[in-house]
Amino acid sequence: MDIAFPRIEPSVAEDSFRHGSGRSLPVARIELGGVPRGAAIVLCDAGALERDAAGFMNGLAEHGYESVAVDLSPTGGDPTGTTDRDLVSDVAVLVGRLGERGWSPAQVGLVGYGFGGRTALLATAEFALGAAVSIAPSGVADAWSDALPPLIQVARHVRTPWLGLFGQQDPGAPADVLARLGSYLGGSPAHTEVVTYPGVARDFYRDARETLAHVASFDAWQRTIEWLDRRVVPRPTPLAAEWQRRVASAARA
Amino acid sequence: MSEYIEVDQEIPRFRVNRKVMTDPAVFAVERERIFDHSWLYIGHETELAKPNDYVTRTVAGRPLILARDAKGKVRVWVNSCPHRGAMLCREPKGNARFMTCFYHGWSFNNSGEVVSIPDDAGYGAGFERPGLAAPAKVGSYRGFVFVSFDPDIVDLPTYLAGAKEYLDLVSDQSEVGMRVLPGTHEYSVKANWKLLTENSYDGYHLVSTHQRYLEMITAAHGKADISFASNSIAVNLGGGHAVMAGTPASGAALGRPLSEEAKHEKAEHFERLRQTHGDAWVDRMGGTRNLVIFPNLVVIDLVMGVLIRRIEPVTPDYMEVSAWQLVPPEEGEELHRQRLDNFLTFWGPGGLASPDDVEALETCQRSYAAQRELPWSDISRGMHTPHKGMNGEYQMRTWWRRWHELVAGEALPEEPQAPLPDFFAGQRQRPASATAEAK
Ligand code: FES
Ligand SMILES: [Fe+2]
Repeated sequence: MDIAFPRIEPSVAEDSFRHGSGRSLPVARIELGGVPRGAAIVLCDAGALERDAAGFMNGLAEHGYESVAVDLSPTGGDPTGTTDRDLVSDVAVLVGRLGERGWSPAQVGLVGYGFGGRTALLATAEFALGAAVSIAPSGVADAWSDALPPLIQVARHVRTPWLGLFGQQDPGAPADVLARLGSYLGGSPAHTEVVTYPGVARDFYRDARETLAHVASFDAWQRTIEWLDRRVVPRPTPLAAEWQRRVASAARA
Repeated sequence: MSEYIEVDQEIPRFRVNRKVMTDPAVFAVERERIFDHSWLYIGHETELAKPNDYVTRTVAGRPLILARDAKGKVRVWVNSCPHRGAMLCREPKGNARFMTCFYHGWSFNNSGEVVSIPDDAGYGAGFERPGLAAPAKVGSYRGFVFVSFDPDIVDLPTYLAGAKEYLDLVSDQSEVGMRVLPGTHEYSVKANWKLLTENSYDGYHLVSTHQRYLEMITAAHGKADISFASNSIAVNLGGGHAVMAGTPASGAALGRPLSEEAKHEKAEHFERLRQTHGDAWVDRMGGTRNLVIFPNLVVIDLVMGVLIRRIEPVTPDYMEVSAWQLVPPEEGEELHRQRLDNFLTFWGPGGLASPDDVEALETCQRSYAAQRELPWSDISRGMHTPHKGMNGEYQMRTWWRRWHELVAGEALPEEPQAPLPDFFAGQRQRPASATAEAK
């Protein structure tokens, strides 16, 4: 990026997912002043909240999205086993948190990486959000745990437009399984797309010097932002809201 | 009589002056009197499968966006930012609920409203925020979407006149609705656009121009039976629209021979259609039809494949052509495979037929440089008889009469047409449910 934006340090606080899985988890937040374009939920890969959240959230903020980020993956000492239903209700809790800041579901984008990418796809079957992107979702062909079966078995048609980004050399997402998943999701009422990056493994979204890896990470981020910009309903500025009121009352008169 | 077309009813003779193929002034008049006042095809509803799908098209020179909005309604917008003009969508197709202009970042939804303007405080509270512009009219018939830039034009069904029946014959070939396959054939021809409208229902050129294709047919079938041409017809459908149509003999003659499996499937499919639509209608379906809807939409149904072709005039001696394939989606794999093969081998830009047409038209255009020495093209074939067959040129004269009426403001004398043979008058049986309701 040529323009250096000031880096925002997300605030991190424990939040209770009482209406979801019942866990208490650290949630990172970036709230923006002025009129942000939209809001985003970032679901980090298992164990990667500290490593990844600030970078992704700053990237989103550059495009006008304030965000919350969380790692919903089951922790080591989780004896009962978090289920898919738990995960989806945890996402509902986050949608609710953004709702408290005035964001309607259509104004929210959902971006998930790895384990979070898997959760993002499951959540799109439940919620009509603005847009969703799963980057290198894990657990596509293989079960994560007994309680978390492979995506190819549990994915359902989506209600939120969904973009799936994959590394061709990701052993967890073989081409034939991806082709099946893509064509099944193509029957959804909402638009879906699957993109596979050649010559890269599942961490393709992290920038690297090697050409294919650099290209894949650049393209993946560009696509993610464009996917959101084309679908997440923007929040009107006060002047835009005033104009909408004027148009509506003129239409009524 | 104008300087453009000369009709002699005695000889009889119908001639078109080659100036109309080369003169920029004629081209400008066509833009204004034809293209600004007709219904023009833009695309098929099935190209927009999901909410927020869009395609971009150039229609009569205007860049347009054909979209299905977030609520599922088909909309058409001018593909230009109301701010200072940059093109909003620069891709041939995609899916987007919001389109953001890359110049200054204004953003619009696919219902045409401006949803955000960066740093909008720079405009003050009284600013009238402009939405997207649209053509005056948008209409759809059996999934074929048309636009018109004339707010006072007659409604689309009235405009289509007798062409509706032939769109029905094509559209009724699927029990779930005919669908356009993804992908567009796009090619250009260095020739006047009217030459391709003429060519699209010219039965006379089949044997001479398409030797290459017929040789393939002969090799594949053991013979090329083109005797079907003798009981085919050309019909004036009103409004400048015309069709050349054949009997089932024509439908069986073209395309590679079907495999046993495909033959069987096709027979079963037609049998089911008979239950719904009745024999008279389905018998007609089994024949070919080359339809030109004035001014620039071509629908060619050779039974082995159905083509939608749109001709976009660019300059007097250059046109761009887009073509799509319309298919019954319920078709099985084998029949579908053979349909795709037929489509490519006949109409493909690298196929065994279309390139020969393009070559013919481009040589016509080059030779019009000698129009002072040779000013007239002859379109009289079949004028001496009321029995209009596909090897005549009545279908083209029908088109030219409408052209002349609009461009020169003068109606040319009509010519008598014999009543339609019974076969071509067969109508669709009313569906059982409709009959039940009527009782
Ligand atoms: S021209 Fe589109 S925003 Fe300026
Ligand atoms: Fe031809």
